[in-house]
Amino acid sequence: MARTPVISSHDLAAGYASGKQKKIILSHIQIEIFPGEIVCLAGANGIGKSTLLKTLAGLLPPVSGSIMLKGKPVVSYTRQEIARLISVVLTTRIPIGNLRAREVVALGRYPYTNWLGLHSAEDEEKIKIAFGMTGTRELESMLIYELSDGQLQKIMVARALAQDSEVILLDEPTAHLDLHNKISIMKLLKDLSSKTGKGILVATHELELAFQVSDRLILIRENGTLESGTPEDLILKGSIDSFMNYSSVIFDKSSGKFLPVRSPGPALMVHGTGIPYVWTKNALERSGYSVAREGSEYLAAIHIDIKNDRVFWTIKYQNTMEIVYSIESLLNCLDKFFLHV
Amino acid sequence: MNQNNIKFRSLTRIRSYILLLFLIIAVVFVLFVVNISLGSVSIPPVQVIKTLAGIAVDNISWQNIILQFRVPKAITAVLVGSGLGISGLLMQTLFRNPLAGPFVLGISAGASLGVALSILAGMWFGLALTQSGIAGTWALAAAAVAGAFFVLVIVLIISSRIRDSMSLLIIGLMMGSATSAVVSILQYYSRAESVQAYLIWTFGSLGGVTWEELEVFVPVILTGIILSWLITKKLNALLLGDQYAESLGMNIKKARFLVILITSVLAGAVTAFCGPIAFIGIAVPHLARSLFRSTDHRLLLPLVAMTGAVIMLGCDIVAQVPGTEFTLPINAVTSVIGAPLVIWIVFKRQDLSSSFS
Repeated sequence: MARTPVISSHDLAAGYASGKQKKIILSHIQIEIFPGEIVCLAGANGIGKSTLLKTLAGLLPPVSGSIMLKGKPVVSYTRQEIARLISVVLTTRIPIGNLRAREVVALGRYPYTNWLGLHSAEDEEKIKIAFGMTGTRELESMLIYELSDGQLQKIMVARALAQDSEVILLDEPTAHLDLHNKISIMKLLKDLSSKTGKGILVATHELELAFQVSDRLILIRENGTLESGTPEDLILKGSIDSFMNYSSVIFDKSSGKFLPVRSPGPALMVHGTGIPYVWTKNALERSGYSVAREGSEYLAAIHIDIKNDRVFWTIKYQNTMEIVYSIESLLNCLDKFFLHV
Repeated sequence: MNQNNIKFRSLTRIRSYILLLFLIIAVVFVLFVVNISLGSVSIPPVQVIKTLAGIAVDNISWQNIILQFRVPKAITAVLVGSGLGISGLLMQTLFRNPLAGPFVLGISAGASLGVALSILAGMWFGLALTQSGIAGTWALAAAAVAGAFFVLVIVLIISSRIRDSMSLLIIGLMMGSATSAVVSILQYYSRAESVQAYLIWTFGSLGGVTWEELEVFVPVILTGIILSWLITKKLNALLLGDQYAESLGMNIKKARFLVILITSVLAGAVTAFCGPIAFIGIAVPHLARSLFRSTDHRLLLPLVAMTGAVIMLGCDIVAQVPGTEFTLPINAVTSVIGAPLVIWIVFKRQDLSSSFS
């Protein structure tokens, strides 16, 4: 049985239309999000990720083309029905810092409550679940301006959860967060998609994070074309290399990381294993040396050894040999040898 | 355990809210009686209560003063305070701006234009509105309503075309400036007596409203208050910002239209009957929030209405300068009391700009 996407777009053009003037930012967009999957929408800053997301959410009218929700055109739904199907986490700040986290999350029940906004037992239950799933119970009675950026983002995710929609669209949910919070938010979204069966679309420019969590990745290229697939397929196809077309950055296929381009410095042979080897290599490359392959030429050799749980490095250069006990001394020593090179 | 704790706390919170509301309503009653008993002729509060209860009083002139002048004036004060307070709250929420008030969209400027046209330009066409004096409030009220409505229609048309509430705020302010400029030109070419008549209108007055006018004034303000109660859910959602509110299924343009319309009805009616009353609309919502910290409009609305009544009755008592023959223009009193009040609130809550609501 073919699955029906919860949200899909057909030849959609996103942009701003005011009066006769049309400003199309992205066109011919075909996107499908299925239940239970997390899809990352990646592209450089300013490429139109937000515009596309807002168009999908119904916050911007499509310039042309159509959006389908569960196989039916979006125009056949009422505002309230759409709000029960799509929730969003936007980049805009909540203008009122004096709201309590609980009030923000409770407003997620807006599409379900009566004119006075009174909560039923079910509403209360959904709010409780939203706090529980995001691990934010202890934040309930805090004012939102007291929250850290990471906590606030979790509350905004909780608010979207309380809205109990089938799709959640998130715009740069990891922007302005430290690494720990970035990973924690992405993991939370990943867990939510698999546990709740919601379709989750995350716009982000952080590909490394996207590789780790997304079931599918949609790349928006500089020229506005879209490419979709599992992250691994895209990496193997070489789509990522051509995607990030910066002269100063290269994509390392073996690690899935973006690395700064380095001009090959003095080649060194490094003998060693395990974690000390990894970080020695990291330190050398970061300082402008290159690590020679087995059998190729090199200027100096470094042996990593461990004695009594202590790591030490033996450097052999021409006729001299030195032993050092930290990476810092290793680099100083190498500088001494090669500074004039 | 934790959940029960929160439930318990919210229950005690509701209880303290209800207590506070009753307390303020009691203060409204006390000030109502005090307001009536004070003035150029002092009447003992007991006599006031007797008269209000319909019990005959020995002094017929007291009874006349109370029923013909002071009761309508006190009722007017309550209506003005509640109406302006609520319209200020609506504007602060719509624009999410602590300094927004009922008149940011140029409603009072529009009313002023209407009044200025009728008083100042009126004489060019041989209309002698000024002859009937300030007491001829019906004509002035009609002129004010026409002016306010004119500005309102323009603002509503603009608001249906733009998505961003902040742009609307700027447009409203500019509309206000432009209309004020027209009023200045009218003043420049008018006779001294006309300018004075216009100036007296701008001072504001609670005393000019008669029983017949109250028959219009009371239902208009009540309608405005009931309508604003009906949109409290929308107001709460607006606190998240326009886009989140829209994503929750709210029709932002319709909501904005309703908020502007209700504000205009309340603020327009007050301006039509009493002139442009300054500061109450900005200060009262802040004062109410400082009495009870909440962002929930279902709780704030009744509180703002009652706090507004208290402040306005208080301002009117001050304006009569009890024990003397003097009276002060009500607008001067509201500004003198309102401005320090806002400053005090800003000092007390340093974080006002990020968390005014």
